[in-house]
Amino acid sequence: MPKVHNWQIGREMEYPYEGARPKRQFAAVFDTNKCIACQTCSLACKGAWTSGRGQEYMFWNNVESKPYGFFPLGWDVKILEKLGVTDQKTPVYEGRTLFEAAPDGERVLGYLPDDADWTFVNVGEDDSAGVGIDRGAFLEIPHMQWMFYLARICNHCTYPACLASCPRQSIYKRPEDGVVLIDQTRCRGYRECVKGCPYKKTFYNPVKKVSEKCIACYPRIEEGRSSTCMAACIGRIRLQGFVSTPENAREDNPIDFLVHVRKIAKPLYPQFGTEPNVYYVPPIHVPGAFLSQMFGHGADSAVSTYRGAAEDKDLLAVLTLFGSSPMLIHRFRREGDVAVGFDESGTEVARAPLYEPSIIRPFHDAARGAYRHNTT
Amino acid sequence: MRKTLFALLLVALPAGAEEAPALSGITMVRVGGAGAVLDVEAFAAAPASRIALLPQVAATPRNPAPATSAIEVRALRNDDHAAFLLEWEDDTPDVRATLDGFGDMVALQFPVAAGAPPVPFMGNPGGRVQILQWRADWQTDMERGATTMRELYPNSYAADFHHADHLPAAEAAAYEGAVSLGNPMSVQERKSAVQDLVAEGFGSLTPRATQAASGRGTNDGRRWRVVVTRPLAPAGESAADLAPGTSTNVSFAVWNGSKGEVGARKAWAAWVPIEVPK
Ligand code: SF4
Ligand code: SF4
Repeated sequence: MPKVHNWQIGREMEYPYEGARPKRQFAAVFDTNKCIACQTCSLACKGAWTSGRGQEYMFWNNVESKPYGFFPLGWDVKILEKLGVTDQKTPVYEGRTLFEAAPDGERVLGYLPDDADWTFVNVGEDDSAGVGIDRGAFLEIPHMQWMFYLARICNHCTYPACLASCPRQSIYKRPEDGVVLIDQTRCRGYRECVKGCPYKKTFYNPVKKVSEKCIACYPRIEEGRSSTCMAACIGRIRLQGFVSTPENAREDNPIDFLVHVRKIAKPLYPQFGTEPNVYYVPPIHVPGAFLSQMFGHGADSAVSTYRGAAEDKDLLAVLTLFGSSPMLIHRFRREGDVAVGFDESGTEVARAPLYEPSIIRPFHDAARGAYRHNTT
Repeated sequence: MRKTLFALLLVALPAGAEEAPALSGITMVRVGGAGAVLDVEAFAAAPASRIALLPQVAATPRNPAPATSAIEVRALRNDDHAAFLLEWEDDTPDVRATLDGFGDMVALQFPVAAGAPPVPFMGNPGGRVQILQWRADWQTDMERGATTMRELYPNSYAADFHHADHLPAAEAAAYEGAVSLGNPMSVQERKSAVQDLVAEGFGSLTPRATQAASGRGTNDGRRWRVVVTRPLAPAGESAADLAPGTSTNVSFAVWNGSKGEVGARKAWAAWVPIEVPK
């Protein structure tokens, strides 16, 4: 089997095909600390792409409450259990990827979710918080309770497991932007990709009898605009662009800056080996062991760097650009206390102040002879 | 390539071949009449050949322990059509493909060109094969109409707004994916339960421009009995010629849906000689 270099796990790994990186690679950074689970992204995507017959159950974009929410049910714990304990304490991952752990005669270690796994999306995910303050926690678990929202789309992986699994080579990665697509004219609905994708982001359409997946809104990307889930994000947790490999990282590329320079954005389950390209700012209140399992080596230092953002104006500038433009920001610059973003041609497409003006009104309004409450 | 495949086949034989393949061949009988034959009774005079099926272990994903180990085959021809009655044990008929379930299928394969046959397992580059695949879920589409989510999941939420229903055809196409691109998998009004395909090796399976085969299957809760028929004369490009007097080969593949068999996960047979009677 050919060997390819996966920078996220710091080593060469086995992959069924020779490595061929695209001219540039679709990428996004999601700040988990800011997501409010409003599901605007999920519905923006649903309305745009999955309103058809056979797509009723699909959420190419979904938001789940971690650690007890999943779509489909148990997607990550099931594959983690199959893969076994994965230690990511060192920059070089010593364990096996899903390609290296493939059983004899298979291309990828995977599983096909059951029908029922796709039902009840988001139902009951937050109930562990209990019903009524005085009645305590609904769920009793041996550790402190915490949760966060995890927004997920296809990761347009550099080494897609879906692509590796398809015996018909019906899945391809676009050389121009790394977007991973299923050729809708060639797919025969085998569901090898559904089995193979560890993130469960390919979906079988039983009416069309073929599989479908997130297309990263490529018609928008071709126009320099961000994908619809990103543009719709009301919590402004998302920044979309293109990621470089570490040796080619460009400091003025906002994605590279977060992923490679400040290293606050981490891939989701890098140990799977697909080199996923949606990067997450880990939640700051979650135990380190969980974070390192989910976001790999360096998740803890990502949290401490992120906590120091107030003192780091360049980092603050990039964080300010999240959700500040519907256009893709290829370069950024900090002009004093203002963050500026540019499109590919160098045209300014975003300008946002690092600090919102704040006014503290005196408790007593002398003009009206009235005292102010914080509700007025 | 060929050498490797045959080597793999030899390795596979002890595991799958419980009975020796019917090297003596399949005897095709001549019956009267013309047109497509879908009737099981038409095979009354045709002798049965039992063909051992092998596990597909030549390409990944492999299927080392297939659900089906043998298929019984009867063959006939009338004035202008050939027909095959294919029978195998399957007490779990799968006639719809759900999210986590696959439909049962059976396929026949012929070398496209005369002369030494190509690799029996889907052919090889330059060695083309014609494949006729009967699909239980396609037959259900014909009998009951195209699959709906409501039929598969009666208690599911049924979306009542489909963009495609409210847009001019040209704009709707973007929302219809494989349907608007004409992928035969996604056809909503089926004309046949058999797909007519061509291949030149693993992963190359492609529908033929001319679809000339049909078929019908029944399952009594123990066994599938499927008739597949096609014209004797090759219709369109890349079709095998089954003209009277032709000596050729045929091979078979079976998929048991509820055992997770689909695509490469199948049981298949080596070439079996067959002669089309004059
Ligand atoms: S997330 Fe899954 S579907 Fe998307 S590219 Fe990676 S392996 Fe394929
Ligand atoms: S729109 Fe943004 S804030 Fe709302 S759920 Fe989606 S990612 Fe979270």
